[in-house]
This record gives sequence, structure tokens and C-alpha cells, in this order.
Amino acid sequence: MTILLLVALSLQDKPKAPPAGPPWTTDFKAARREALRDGKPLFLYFTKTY
Amino acid sequence: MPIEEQVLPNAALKGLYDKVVWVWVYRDFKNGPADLAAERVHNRCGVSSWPHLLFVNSSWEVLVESGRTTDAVQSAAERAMAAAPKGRRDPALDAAIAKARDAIKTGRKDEARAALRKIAAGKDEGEYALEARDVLDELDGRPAASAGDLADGDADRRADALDALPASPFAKESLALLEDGDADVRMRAVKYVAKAAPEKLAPAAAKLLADPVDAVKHAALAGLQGTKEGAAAIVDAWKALDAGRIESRNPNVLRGRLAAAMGESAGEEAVPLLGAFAAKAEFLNGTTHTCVKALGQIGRRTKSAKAAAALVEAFPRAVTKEDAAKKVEAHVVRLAKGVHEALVDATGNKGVAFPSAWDEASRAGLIKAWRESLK
Repeated sequence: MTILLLVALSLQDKPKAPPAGPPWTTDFKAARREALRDGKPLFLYFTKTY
Repeated sequence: MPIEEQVLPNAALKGLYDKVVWVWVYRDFKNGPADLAAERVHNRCGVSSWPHLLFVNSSWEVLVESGRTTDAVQSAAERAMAAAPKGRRDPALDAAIAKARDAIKTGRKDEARAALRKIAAGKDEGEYALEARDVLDELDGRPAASAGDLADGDADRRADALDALPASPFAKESLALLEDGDADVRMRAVKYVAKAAPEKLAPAAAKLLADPVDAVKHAALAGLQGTKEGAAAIVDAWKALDAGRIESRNPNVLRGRLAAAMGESAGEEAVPLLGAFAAKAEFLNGTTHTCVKALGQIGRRTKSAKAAAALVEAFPRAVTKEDAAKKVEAHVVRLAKGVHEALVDATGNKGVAFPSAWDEASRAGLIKAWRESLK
């Protein structure tokens, strides 16, 4: 029981990471400047903790 | 199709990796620096529900809203790439900033400062001046946000300045920021004015409640709620939402907040609007419950018989045998009790008892009892 609880707590504290695949960034200012300078659109995936 | 497991990792999107800037905007609601930065992006794009997949330009304007399949993302990307403005890259300024960063790394800080100050003082179309200032701040530390930053060219600095303003004395410059081009700045300006000089919010109420971004509307509603001046604007905003003159990415949430605000401040004129929504008796929709509560508040405050009459029409249907299987019985009964409690609130009459069951007979009996009490 204690082990299960510890596992659950450790999973809860684990920082959420973006999904596999694309080269994600969380530096919004740098992302916006790249889009501005290179004429690219930004693709924004909005999500939250559940 | 699960977005994170199947749609976004799909190899079919590989061809887009270098054609699009991929940004993960995640909120944990812990109000740390990363969460606040993500909140700003939400505000700028008008997002208040999840998940959302949007293609935007560098001004955070939505170019295309994507569906939740790999094909939909590919198709939306094609349209977004066609709609994106042309690039503003300046190789000479890129090289100058890279050279300054290299000088910092190798300890030639004065050389770097001089180069960066020169770029920061210049004008360009690719935000190199702003980037040079950011690098200078990384080097020497960023000065604390102040009222002097309210007119800064960087929206983040204008937003920080608003958050740092003391309520007293009232900073008049904040009023101009109610119409700022950046939605996060507008939202923070609304919050500041609501806190520091709430009477100055009402003249801008109609415009703020029609703002294209929901976060600005929500902040305005919070500021106007409970004020007599704001009540008319809130009722008008509900009508405008009905007529499609106000856009919202989440109209049900906006309607719920409008209903709550009406409950706090509107008069009898709000009863037909709230009553029509409540009469649909959509027991799974939180906005229905908010409308019911608001009618009770208006009835109590205005002593209007119309609010109570509207509530009598808002009782949901009786529970059916199928409700138990669908696990909705409790929701139906909860709404019925909510309407009953709002009637008690509106009339002050505690003499009508809620029945122990919510079947056809007890429903009819309760409605009859309330109608008679209202005569």
C-alpha cells in the first residue's frame, strides 16, 4: 500500500512533458520571433494538468 | 483519436517540423513563471478551454483552428503557411547578436554591451532591438517593472508594469491600455482599473464585453459585477451574444459568467433573458444552474414577481426509469432543488416544501403550490 502511494505521488510530481514527435518549444518569445523572422506560422498545442 | 498518443507523434507530420514553429502551451495553474507565461499565450489567443490546436501568426492572431486528426493538422498547416506574413529576418542583425552573445561567453562584456546597446537603439522589423535589450537584461539583470514601462514596445513588459502598479495613486496611463493591441495587456489593464478606479471601467464596459478575447471579457465582468453602471452593459452583452454580435471561443462559459454578473447587479430587465435559458432546464449545463440562482437573486433584490414567475417555468421534467441507467437522476433532482431554493430566495417564502421524490405527481404538486403562493 505504502509503495503504491509513493509511486502515485512520484507520478503526480513528475513534470508534464510535451508529446513525442515534433520539435516542441516552450520559449514563447523565441518561438514568436522565429515565426516573425522566418515567415512561419506557429502551431500551438494548448493543454493543461488533468 | 488521442491527440498526444496518435495525432501529434504521427510520422506523417515530419514534413512540417521545419516549416512550422511547434509550441507546447501547458498550464499547471501553480502560478509559477512558466505557468504565467503560458497563461499569457492563452489570453492572447483567446483560449479558455482544453485542448486546442491553433495555427497563429507572430502577433498571436489565429490563422487556422485545427481539427484533432493528423490529416486535419496537415491540412490546417498548409492553409496557415499560405496565410503567414513574409519573414523579417535580417542576417546582419542575426550575426551582430550572435557575435555579442559570443563576446559575453568569452568574458568581453563591455564589447557585448556596446554592440547590444547599438542594436537596441535602432529600428528594425524583426524585433532585433527588443532581443538585444533582452540579452542586455540577461547580462546585467532586468530593472524592476515600473509605470515607465506602460508604453514599452514589448507587450510582456507592459503587462508586467500593469501588474506592478500600486492601486494608489491611480495611473491614468492604464486607461489607454484598455485598448492595447495585446489581449493579455488589455486584460491586465482591466484588472488594474477595476482595482484602482472601478468607476472608470463602466464607460468602456460595452467595448470590453465585446472584446474578441474571452479573458478580457471575463476580467471586465468581474470588475463590473455588482456595479449599477455595469448592469446595463452586461444585459446588452447577453443580447449581443444571442444575436451573434459577440464572438467567444467558449460561449457557454461566457454566458454563465454573464448570468452570474446579472444575478449580482441586474434588474428586472434581465429576467426574460435568464428565464428563457433556465426554462430549457438543461440539467447537465452549469449555466442553467447559474441562471436559476441569478433569477433568485434578482427576485430578492428587486422584489419583482416576474423573477419568481420565470423560476416556476424552470423546473426540470420528472425523473424517468432511464435516468438511473444514464446516471443523470441526481442532476435532474439537483436542478429541481436549485429552482426551488431560488424561489425561496426570490420570494422569502419558506412555507413550500420540496417533495421527497421527483416524479410526475410530486413535480405537478410543487409547481401548483408555488403558483398558488405567487397569486
